[in-house]
Amino acid sequence: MEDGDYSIRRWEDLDIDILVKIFQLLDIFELTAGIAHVCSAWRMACCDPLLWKTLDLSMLKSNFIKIPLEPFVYVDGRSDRKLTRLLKISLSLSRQSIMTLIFHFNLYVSDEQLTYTAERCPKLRRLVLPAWNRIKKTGMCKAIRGWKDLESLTMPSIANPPYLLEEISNHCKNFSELKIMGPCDIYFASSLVAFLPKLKVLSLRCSMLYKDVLIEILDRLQHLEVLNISHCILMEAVPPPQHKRVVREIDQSIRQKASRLREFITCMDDNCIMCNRTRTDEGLVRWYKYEEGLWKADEVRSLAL
Amino acid sequence: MELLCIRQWISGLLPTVKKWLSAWCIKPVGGALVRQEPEYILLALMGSPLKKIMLCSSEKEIFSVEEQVMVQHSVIINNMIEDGSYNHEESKIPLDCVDSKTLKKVIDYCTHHTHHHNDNQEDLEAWDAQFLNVDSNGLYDLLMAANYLEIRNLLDLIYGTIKNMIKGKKIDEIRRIFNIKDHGFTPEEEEQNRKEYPHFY
Repeated sequence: MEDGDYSIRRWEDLDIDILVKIFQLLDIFELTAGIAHVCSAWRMACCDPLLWKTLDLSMLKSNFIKIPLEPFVYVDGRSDRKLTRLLKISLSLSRQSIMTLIFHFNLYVSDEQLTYTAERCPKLRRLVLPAWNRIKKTGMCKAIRGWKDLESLTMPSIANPPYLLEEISNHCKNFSELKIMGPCDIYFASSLVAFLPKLKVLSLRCSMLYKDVLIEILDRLQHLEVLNISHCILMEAVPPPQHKRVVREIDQSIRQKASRLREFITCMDDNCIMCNRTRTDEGLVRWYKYEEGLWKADEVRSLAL
Repeated sequence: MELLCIRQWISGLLPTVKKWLSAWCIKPVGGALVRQEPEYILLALMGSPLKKIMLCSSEKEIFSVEEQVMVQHSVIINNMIEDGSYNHEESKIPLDCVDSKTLKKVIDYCTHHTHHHNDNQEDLEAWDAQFLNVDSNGLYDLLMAANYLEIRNLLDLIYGTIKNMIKGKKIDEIRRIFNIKDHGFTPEEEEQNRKEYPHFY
């Protein structure tokens, strides 16, 4: 039998579809660790949009400590530089094809990093925001202005900035889905009504929710189709001396209002682990205490990670 | 009656026969019945269990292999047989881009996976690992053959192997392993890359 070495196997000339299939098996760290610099054909495969529909950085957390002064966290320089490097290479290879961007809620992204990222993902449709202690109002607004196609946003615990919703309302005409990982007070609910009246999907799971806020949402967000209040501590204001008390079950009037929704997802069960955890953490779940990745769950399929 | 007609007649009967055959829970007997698929059993009952087909390598060497084995694994061969362009009595399937050494290995893979379909996962994986213990030239040839013949599970296996050969390695090492002598970048680009990301090289 003839020895096949008369023809040289040119791995650099491998069909680009095959290369892309192989690179799809790599995680973001492996993909950005120099594969694109092996040869020009591999570089072209690394830039294929199929690899960059989603940029998932949710395994990346900051190395930080809490400090008593603004912005209340100090991020270790090396940790910051690692993120910058990763963003630089990913965004360069992605060639603006990124449609979903996922950050870990304990990733303290800087203002510059956010701006840099936003400029390079103009087609973004879904964003899972990181912790934004270090992000300034100007940086956030500038980023949103560039995301004309934004449809879905997941926000970690909010310092309640309605300016964010206003910015979305002005620039993101297709915006329809919001998840808040923190308390939603009446002020925030009114902002939702004012700026995002066309909101279709809202998740407020695992937080403290006042009954009047819930009613406001059900009454005023006319286009709402899906509402998730699973594991929330439902509260209601009462006269002094208690001022407030926990509502043990969802009454008929609320169910009536929610009947127009396609999905009204609730869970108020003393035996439920998440309900108990929300109660223990007093409405602001300390996700870092629990299993890795727990924060990603959501009963709404389009919001689950 | 020509073999092709019988096959078509059987295919026509299949949906009904499949239903009552599967109710029988027929188990393989000896080495003759290798799968429990109703059509296979029916073929066995008809007296033509292990029909063979001929594959011809680029070096004009003929390999005889069970039709079912290739049909189960290769989309291309399956299509050729389904649409009747393959005549069992006379033809051989010419595979001009696959040499004998590689074709033999491909047939080996498909045969093993058909006959050992019910083995436990660990054993199959161990066999696969041993099967792909080849040099990069051999791997390349297998990749080309599997791609051409559209053998999904072999392709996935090879992709996974190549991925493991790449990940965690520095660029110079990757170039060495895959014998990439011409990287296609200009000298300036290459120098710039090395300066900017020295730890990747």
